[in-house]
Amino acid sequence: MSTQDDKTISLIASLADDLTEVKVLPHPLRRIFPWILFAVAYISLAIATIGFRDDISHKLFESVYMFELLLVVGMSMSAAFCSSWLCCPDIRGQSWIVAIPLSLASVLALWLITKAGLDHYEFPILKYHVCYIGAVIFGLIPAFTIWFLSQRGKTTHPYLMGLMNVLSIGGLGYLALRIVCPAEEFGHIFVYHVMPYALFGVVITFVAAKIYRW
Amino acid sequence: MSIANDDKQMSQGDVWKELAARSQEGDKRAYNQLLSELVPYIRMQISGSLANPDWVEDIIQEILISVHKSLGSYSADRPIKPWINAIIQFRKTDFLRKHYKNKNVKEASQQNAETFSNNVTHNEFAGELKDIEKAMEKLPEKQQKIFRLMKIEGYSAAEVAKEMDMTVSAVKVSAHRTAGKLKDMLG
Repeated sequence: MSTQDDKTISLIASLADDLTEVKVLPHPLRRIFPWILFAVAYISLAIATIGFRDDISHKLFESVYMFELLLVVGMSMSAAFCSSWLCCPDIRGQSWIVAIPLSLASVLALWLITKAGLDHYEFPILKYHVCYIGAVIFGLIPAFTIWFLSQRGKTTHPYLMGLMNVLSIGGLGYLALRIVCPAEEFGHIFVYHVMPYALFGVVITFVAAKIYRW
Repeated sequence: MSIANDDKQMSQGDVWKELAARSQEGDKRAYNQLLSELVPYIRMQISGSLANPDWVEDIIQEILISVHKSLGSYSADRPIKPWINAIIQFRKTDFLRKHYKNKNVKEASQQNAETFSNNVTHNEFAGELKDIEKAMEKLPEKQQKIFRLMKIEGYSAAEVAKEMDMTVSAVKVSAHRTAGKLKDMLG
């Protein structure tokens, strides 16, 4: 028997020797529901503290505005569910579910591009804007908590997990910014509402393999 | 008596499912049996797709450690083979990515005579302690300490675990990983 075989046998013996009762990861639905409740409560509280946009009572009757908000809610929630499923190495045999947030994100991107085409947009000059602070307030705590949840899982798709977490956090943050900020110009929405989360996504792409390592 | 002997009618997957469920409850014998039965399956899954047959055992050991770490993520109501296969593919890819990344670094340093002479004291004795210590300097301090205490100074895993305020399992895994990294670094 080779030395390597001996090492494998001794490793098995050592791992078995160290075994204690293992806490089984709850079903993904049971894991993510508390986070969704927490994130929705937190965002609602933050919105209530900052204040709704002045024209919110009119906007809620605009089908275009409501379509956008519902699209973002769908993308954000489905991405959070996917993140929970990705915590299992085999995604519980349901890898197709990532198609849902990805499709919704594509529709949102197309929607924003269409809006840009229709609005004849102009990009604002890059400078400090209060929406950046809003983006951080709405994103930071949900991002930290979903990262904590993800850490307890054992993903075999760290980059996909990172993307799902970014879509989930970015979706919630974008939704909240659209509810508190009255700006409707594409340039403003892109630079102050989308870009902070897009940059967050770029950072996560670089560090995903490290932060979701196990 | 093993589960496989208890019920010959059960498929391999069903036997492993049962063993995994018992392992999650802390049954060491079932766990030992599960890991032992996984070894030939893992070997069969990876050996045909590797350029170097010497890597097979290293990858098997990495996969076994991963199975150990992720045992809690297995759900007994699901088939076990997709779970195992996902871990096998993940660790194999991870191993190959690291290997080829290190290989480039090594080739670059060996082309550079100065770096080579600084890092290898004598070609014939490239594995000497001095080289190992030099290589260890590139590793995180915690890993260095665990490896030094266990593999150079001869302390037991339990003693090191107590000293480092870690679990015995975590200490063993760290020492095993450090040995693998050093092996890669020293060629």
